[in-house]
Amino acid sequence: MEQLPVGNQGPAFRCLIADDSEFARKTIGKIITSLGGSIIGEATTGNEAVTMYEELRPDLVLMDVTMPELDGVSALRMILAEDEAAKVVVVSAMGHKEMIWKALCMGAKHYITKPYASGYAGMVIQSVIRGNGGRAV
Amino acid sequence: MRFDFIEPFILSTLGVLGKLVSCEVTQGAISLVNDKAISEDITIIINMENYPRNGIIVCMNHETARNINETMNGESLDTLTPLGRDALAEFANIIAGNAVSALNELGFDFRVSPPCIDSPASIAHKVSGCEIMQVMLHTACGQITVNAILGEDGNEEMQQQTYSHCR
Repeated sequence: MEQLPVGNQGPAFRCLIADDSEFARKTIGKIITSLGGSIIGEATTGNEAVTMYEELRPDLVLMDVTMPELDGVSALRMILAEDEAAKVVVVSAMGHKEMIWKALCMGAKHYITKPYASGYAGMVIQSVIRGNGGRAV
Repeated sequence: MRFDFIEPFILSTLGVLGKLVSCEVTQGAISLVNDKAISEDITIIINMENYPRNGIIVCMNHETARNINETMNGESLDTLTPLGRDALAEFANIIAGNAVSALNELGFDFRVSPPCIDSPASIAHKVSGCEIMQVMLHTACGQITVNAILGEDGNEEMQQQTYSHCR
């Protein structure tokens, strides 16, 4: 099994995870905690993600695309309309160029496609938290 | 069935499955089947939002499901817990998402719905009358069958649009 990133390599941060899969939330949640972050909210729909963002103002949002009620890209748009400085990383099994481009142009800080390696996801998250997560894929 | 879907669909599925179960995956038979072939113990369907009669169905028996769950969750379970079922749904979601993304790179526009684990009979009923491309895949976890219903919606206008996108 792949090693998780070594913990506490950066500043503590508060993270909201939006994914309708409990398994997916737990998997990326382990990466967050290994990096010294805390999970302050878990949303299972895009609507929940928007509401929880407004209430919790997390430092980072990890956003799935395919979710019930409201998809992740629409939720991303709504969050950025509310707070243009929001740090949102899209994490999705849908990884065609048009979708990635759309999310990045909209203001996502990064786009991680599933399945991902824990080390890679951790590196991206750290980069975004430190403020240099510049729109690469 | 749109035959130009087959190669990118299978290549993507082989690649992503190898990463998910961390082993070599070999492709078995490819066949065109009907809904009677949807009969495994665990059946997960991912519908296409914008093509309601289209979808991808991932099937496996209980033993394969247990092995995949052990690989993904890192724990061995005799019975599938809700988290185990969720891991299998996510497994199918990743296979479908990657396969559909490979097709979308060719100019198509499939959008997937969240996965749903259902009984084989119920899913077979949902896809009755559809032509299904069935691909057998052999992995260290066991055999996985991926069924694709793509490109047939009985909507001529939509299909023409799809063809024109593909060129």
